[in-house]
Amino acid sequence: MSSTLIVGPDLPRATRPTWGQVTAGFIALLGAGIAGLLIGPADIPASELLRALADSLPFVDVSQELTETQLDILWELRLPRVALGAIVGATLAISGAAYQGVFRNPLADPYLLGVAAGAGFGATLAFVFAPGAAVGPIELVPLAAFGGALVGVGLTYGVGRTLGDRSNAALILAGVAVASFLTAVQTFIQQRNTDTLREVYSWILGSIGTLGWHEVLLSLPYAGIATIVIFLHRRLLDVLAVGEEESRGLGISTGRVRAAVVIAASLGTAAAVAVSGLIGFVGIIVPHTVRLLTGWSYRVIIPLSALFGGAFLVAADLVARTVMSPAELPIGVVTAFLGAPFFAVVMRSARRMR
Amino acid sequence: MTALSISGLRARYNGTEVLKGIDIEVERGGWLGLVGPNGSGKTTLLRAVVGTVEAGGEVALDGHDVRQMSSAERSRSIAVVAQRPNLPSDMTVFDYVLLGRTPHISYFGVEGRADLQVVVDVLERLELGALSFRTLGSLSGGEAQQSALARALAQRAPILLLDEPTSALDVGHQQQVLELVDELRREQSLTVVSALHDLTLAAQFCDGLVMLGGGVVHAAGAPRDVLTAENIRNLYGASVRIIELGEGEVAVVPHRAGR
Repeated sequence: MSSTLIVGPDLPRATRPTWGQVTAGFIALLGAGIAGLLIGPADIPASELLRALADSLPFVDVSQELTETQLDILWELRLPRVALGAIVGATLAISGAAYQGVFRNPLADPYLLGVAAGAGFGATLAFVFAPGAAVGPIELVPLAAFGGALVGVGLTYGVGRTLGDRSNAALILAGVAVASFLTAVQTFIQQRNTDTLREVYSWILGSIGTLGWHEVLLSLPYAGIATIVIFLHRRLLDVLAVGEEESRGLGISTGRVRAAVVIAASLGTAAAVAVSGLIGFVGIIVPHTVRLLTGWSYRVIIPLSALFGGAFLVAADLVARTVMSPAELPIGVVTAFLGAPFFAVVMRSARRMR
Repeated sequence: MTALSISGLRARYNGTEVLKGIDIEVERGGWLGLVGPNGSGKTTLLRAVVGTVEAGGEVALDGHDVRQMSSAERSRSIAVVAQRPNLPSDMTVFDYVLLGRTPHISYFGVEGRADLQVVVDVLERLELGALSFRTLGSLSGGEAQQSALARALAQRAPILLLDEPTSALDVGHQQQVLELVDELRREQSLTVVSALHDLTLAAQFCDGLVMLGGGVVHAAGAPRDVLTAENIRNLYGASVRIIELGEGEVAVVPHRAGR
């Protein structure tokens, strides 16, 4: 057998995203964002939009002829909505990819693992039993949502293990059971405390339509921390692909890696749920599409999932508010409509892999 | 000089104590073979040395207690090839071998030039260069085994543990892999400990053998002293003939009693 690997100044490289892939991700995100800013009941011409955007940059002065109302629609309605869509989409997609990596399970997703239900449960407790409370400068609701998210994923993982079956299905079945249970408890508490019912419901079902810069600023730190922590673990997620024992043989403290990534992904999910309510399947659709197109490595999947996840949710939100205009579909309906069939396809190919 | 010293090693597997106080010393550059019937604790012993199962007793590398080492330090000293390594089917050989550099890369770090160079060198040495960018799922059994060995070699650890490195291979590939390990051992003065099923191959490649049975060392020493018909009958319940091949080599051949 001959050896043809070329050795020289240009060493072969580990798998990582190419410039083309990263550029495509940014173009998708930017394209979806611009479409989100342009399209809507109020007409804002593309040329004026670009001028207004340029004008808003520091040290740039461009004349633009948008009315006060148009500017308000742009800055106070459409832009925060696009920003939130990008933040929530990126966070859900990267969290989904992270769960898939640590559990070595292609079907893992923040919603299917009971994380989102846990976040809803935690938030409900905070609304009902400590309305308006805060820990120092931080509101209690997002913290409670985060705690609930960790409880959700912890229960799912624990129940999944007691099934004594490390298969993909066991974890997901456990997730379904945990999610149903937490949702039931949450509904019970809600119904017993009808005075906060409206608040809870609007929190849980909250679409990103009614939100503004306050929610952007509320979710950004959590989403940012989650994204950075997961991004920093992308190489270690690839090591975990060889399994628990061999990873430990390579000097990895698998428990620590798993805990760090699960906590980060749960924090991200809680932040996303806290501002946008229940939006399912993003964590499945986006990482798997990226995986199908680029291969196995989390060094590629993690960053590209963030970019395409953001683009995907901005686009889904655009669909949600335009298909039945002037009425609005909940964005979760759009993602589920696309995601459920996709899930079936992933399940088929996951079966074939085994 | 002693590279690996094990004393009073005890370990459990699925709740039963499979190692009940094992003492073994391996000289630097030596090749120790672990033999013994199924379930005699060969794999558990290797796991205990590398630290992936809880174990009592002492394991020292060059006189340093492994329990004082961080997991990365330990993985820089001991590399292991599992009996059935997980080979993610979409991963390329290059990326897979690069995983062997993990203990040399900081927690949040990525590989540097030196790491890539090690991978290139190992792939060249094992003549896997042409397969570098093939996926693991597309390899033959022999190529996959070599890739697993390459990953372990990329750790650049002075001690190499092999758990049944030849169990999935035909007789030709068995010999190739073991010859390769032997050459590498001499070139890089590696200390090798391997569990081996095939007693004849164990006798031919190892300097010394430890025969495990009932959780203790049943016999230890030079291959021809360990592989006696009596030891094998007592431990395996097998009837065999030991055939002298000359120059101290022996072959173990099953023998049907009464014929």
